[in-house]
This record gives sequence, C-alpha cells and structure tokens, in this order.
Amino acid sequence: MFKHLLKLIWNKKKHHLLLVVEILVSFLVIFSLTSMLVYYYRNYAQPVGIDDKNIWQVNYDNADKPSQPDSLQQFYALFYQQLKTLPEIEEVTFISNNAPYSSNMHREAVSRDDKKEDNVDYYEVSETYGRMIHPDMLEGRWYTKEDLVGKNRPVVIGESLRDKLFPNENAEGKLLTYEKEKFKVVGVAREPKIRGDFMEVNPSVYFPPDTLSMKWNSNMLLKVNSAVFHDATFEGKVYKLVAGFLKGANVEIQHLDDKHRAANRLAIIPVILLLIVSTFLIVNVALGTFGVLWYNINKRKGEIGLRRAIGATGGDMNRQLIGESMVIATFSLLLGTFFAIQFPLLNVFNIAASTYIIALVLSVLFIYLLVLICSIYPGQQAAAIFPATALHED
Amino acid sequence: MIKLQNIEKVYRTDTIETLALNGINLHVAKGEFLSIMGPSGCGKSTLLNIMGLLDEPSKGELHIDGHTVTRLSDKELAGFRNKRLGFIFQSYHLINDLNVLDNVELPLLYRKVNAKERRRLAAAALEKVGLSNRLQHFPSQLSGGQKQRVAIARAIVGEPEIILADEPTGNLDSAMGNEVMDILIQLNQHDKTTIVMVTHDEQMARKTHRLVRLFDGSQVQ
Repeated sequence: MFKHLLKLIWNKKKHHLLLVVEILVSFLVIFSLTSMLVYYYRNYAQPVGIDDKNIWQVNYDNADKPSQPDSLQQFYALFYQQLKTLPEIEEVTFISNNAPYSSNMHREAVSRDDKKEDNVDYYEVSETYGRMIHPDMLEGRWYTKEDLVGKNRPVVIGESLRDKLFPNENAEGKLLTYEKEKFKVVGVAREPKIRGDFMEVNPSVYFPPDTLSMKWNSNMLLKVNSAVFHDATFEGKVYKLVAGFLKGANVEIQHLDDKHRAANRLAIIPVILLLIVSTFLIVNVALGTFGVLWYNINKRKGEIGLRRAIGATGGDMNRQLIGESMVIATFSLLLGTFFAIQFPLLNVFNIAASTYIIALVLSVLFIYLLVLICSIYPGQQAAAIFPATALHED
Repeated sequence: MIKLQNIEKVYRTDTIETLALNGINLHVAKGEFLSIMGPSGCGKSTLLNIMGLLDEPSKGELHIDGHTVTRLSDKELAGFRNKRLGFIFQSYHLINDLNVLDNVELPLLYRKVNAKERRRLAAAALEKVGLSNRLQHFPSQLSGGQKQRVAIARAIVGEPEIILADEPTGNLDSAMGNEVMDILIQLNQHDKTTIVMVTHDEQMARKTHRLVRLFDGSQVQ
C-alpha cells in the first residue's frame, strides 16, 4: 500500500508542489528554532558558575592615570585602599573590559608543549576575583598576591581549556604559554556563564593584570553589602569617590544582576522572532494540509466511491488520506533533512553536532505530528462517505 | 445467486420523502445475464447499488449466494464486494493519476495480493479485453471505449462471480458500445459470470438473457 501511495503522490507531484515547499520551509524554520532552543536548554542546564549577587560593575573610561608602571601600581593600590575605607564595600576587583555580561570579547591563543588552542577567552582579573564571584574550583585555587611574585605568573584556566590542553590529567602546577611567556596553572574553574544563562561557555584563561594592561583597563567590580545594593545615596557616594580619585573619568555604575537579566533577554530575542515566524508557518502548513485534504475529499469523491466499491473499508480510506499527507510530508522532510544535516557536518556556528541532531529529530517529529493532526478530521470525513453517494456525486 | 425480497428504498430529506424502490422481488440465477431498463429516475441504479452492497435498502432482504448481506459490518461488506462483485460504471471511474495497469490492479491491492502476482493478473485481465498494448498508458491517453475496457478488466481481475454494470455503453458510440457488449457476453458465456446490467439501450438489452423493466420504483416486467 505504501508503494501505491508513493506512486499516487509522485504522479501528482506538480499538484502537491506548493504544499511540499510550504512544509519544507516550515521544517527549516522549525529546525532553526529547535536548534536554538536545544542549544539554549543545554547551556541553561549547565551550572551557572558565578555568584553575581550584590555586585556593581564600575566603568571609568578616560580616567587620568600615571604613565609610569611603578606609579601606576601605587595609584591602583591607593585607589583600592580608598574604596575599602567604605565598610559597605566588601571586595574590589579590577578587571579587563570584557567584564561579565558585557558584549566585549577578547580571544587569544594559548599553548602547552605541542598543543595549541586558538580562540581562548582571555580575561585579566585581579586576585580578588575568586572571592568576588565564587567560581566552582575543580582543581587548586584562585591565585593570590603571593603567587604573583613566583617564577611564573599564575593563571586560572577553565574546565574546557583544561580538557583540551591537559586531557586526562590534572592541570594544577603545569605550565602553559601565552605570547612566549610561561604561566603556571594554579587552579581550574568551571567556566562561569558570563555571557548569560543561555550562552555557551568558551575555553577561558584568567590572568592577573600586568602594569601595562592596568593603564588601559577601565573596569572594576565592587561587591557591596546587600543592605546598600539598591541604595541610591550610597551609589552616589561611591560615584563621587571614584570620580574624585579618577580625574576626567566618565564613571558609570551598573548592577551586575541587571546586566545578567539584560544578557538573557538579548539571547531570547531571536527565539521570539523565530517563534513568531514559525507560528505563522505552522498555521500555514496546518491550513494547507487541511485544505488540500478537504479539497481531495470533495474532488475525489468518485475515487473514494470507487475504492469503497472495489473493497476498501472506511478505515482504509481514512488511512489512505492520512498516508498521502504523510508521504507528502516525507518528501519535504527528506529534502529538508538534506539541508539540515549540513549544519552538523560543516560544524556551522561551532555548535555541537548532537544539538543539531536532536533538533533535527524533534523537528521531523513535530512536522509529522502536525500533518497527522491536520489529516485526522478530513480522513474521518472520507471514511464516513457512503460509496453510492460518492459515486453518484462524482 | 442474487435474491431480493420486498426491497424498498426511501430517500429522506427534512422536507421530502422519495420512494425510489417499492417492493422489488427479484431473483437472478447463477450464470444469468440480466438487463434492467426503465426511464430516468425509475430506480435502476439504486437497485443496482443495493445489489452491489453500495447502498442499503430501507426495507427488505438481500441474499447473495445464500448469504443474507443486509446486516453485514462495513469491513464484511468491503470484503464481500472485493471478492465476489465486480463493478462497471457508465463514467468508467478510472483514477487518472494511475496508469492502466495500476488501475486494474486496484481490487487486488485491497485483497493483499503481492505486487508480482497483481501485475500478472492485471496484465492477463487486460489481455482478455484486448488492451495488452496499453499497460503503461494513463486514462487521459485512451478513448472512451478503451477506458471502459480498462474498467471491465478491473472488474474481472479478481474473478468475481457477479458483475454489476451501470449503463456500461451509455457514454460510447454504437461501435464501441457493441465491442464492450461483446466482451460482457463473452464473460457471461465462457466464464459463466453472472451479469446484471442497467441500460437505456433496448438493442443491448435484447442481447441479454432476461429483461426487467422498472417504472417509478416498481417492477413492471
């Protein structure tokens, strides 16, 4: 019977072309949406790895800073002390401009012996960062002031970088190279999701800032007492202190949890857009399938009557109409799968192949389910037609 | 072979009740070639549809080969039609999207005959009606007479005991009509197939064993 349906649909391919194209386009859009949803869900299911409660991010662009390295270090030490005079400020961390939940990105290549990893997220954070965001340490610890005076400057690396550079071994105490300088790995942290809950973490490495970078970096994180986190008066006080110390700076204070929510919202926007397009297409496919079947029943009453006359039961007619829709959907899905399978094969957007495969399977099931639902009622109508009536009306 | 006892058929709408058949008692013997005639709207096709289990009588009983078939389920009726009855219609009722061979195979498809055997039987049936050179043609590429011969091949492919023909020559010119009629006579004489044919054509009716006339839903001859 399947071969018969295939032949019937194939011989009417021109008639069904529009529906085939409609289902194909819908499948591709649903595949995009599902890929995004599966990707987001898999990222969301990962541990957050960052405690961003009661943290302000203070940006101080264009501040006048000493140009000599020694003076610059003293300048920052004094700035740190000034901030710590406020008892409400629990911790201060100076960080590079790719602060958590910002859109700035800084990627470099790091290596270990013969293994090299390109596109590693490069962060410069002072030694207090570990106490500030409480990362999940998988090995060792965050670097301290004492580590800074060692033979090799310390770094903390992310879990995925460890898995790439130090597979099946501990990274703690090992050396890695960045721009010909050897750094000592003092700890391995689970990469915090600093681009939002739905975004994938990238292999990362955390360096203590050197004096040159301290000249250009213009961000710090302040962990404040929860009682003053939303206190505008205290925020004004901090603003005045920073602006007073860093002459000429454009000071901006942001709440890290607000930035966190904003990053999540930004990630959801394309999902919402795709959802709107998908809904429109799903309605189209549903109406298209329903319409074609309805048309088939009315235009093919003679055929239905004939088939009943030569031995088809009502159930056979129901199954035939549903089967025809499924065959049409299968044509579209075969074509759609050919396009969709290119994504994992070509590693598009550097997303795991399994994400695309799961999305592909879900999208195929969704289209089949949609077509099945839209075929049930017309199929039942065809089954209910009395053969003499159908033959008479043709 | 076919026994109708006091058959009545009433069509009802919200406002109108039409008596299409009124107290029909008819017996068609095995191997008989019976024709039914009468003016348009007298109930000929309704009677044929009831004999072919395509419609239900409002009253009365229908027996085919000793079986009472008026109270069978949808599945039993479909099985009965598939195995024991063959249909020929005035408008051929061929499926335009299937070629001649596929059209003829259709009854065997519902009998779950395997593909190879279906092909063989369909080709044999088409040879019987003189169309073995048109197997891959589509209905749109055939003349009216050829279409009706395909329909006959489809009716006989499952070797039914009874063929019910509803004005099989109605859409054909006299030459083609005679060709079709000759095939039906051959089937009746050689294969001993029981045939009931509705016709408007007195000449065709005279070629059958017996003629039944209907008028206003009642048997008058």
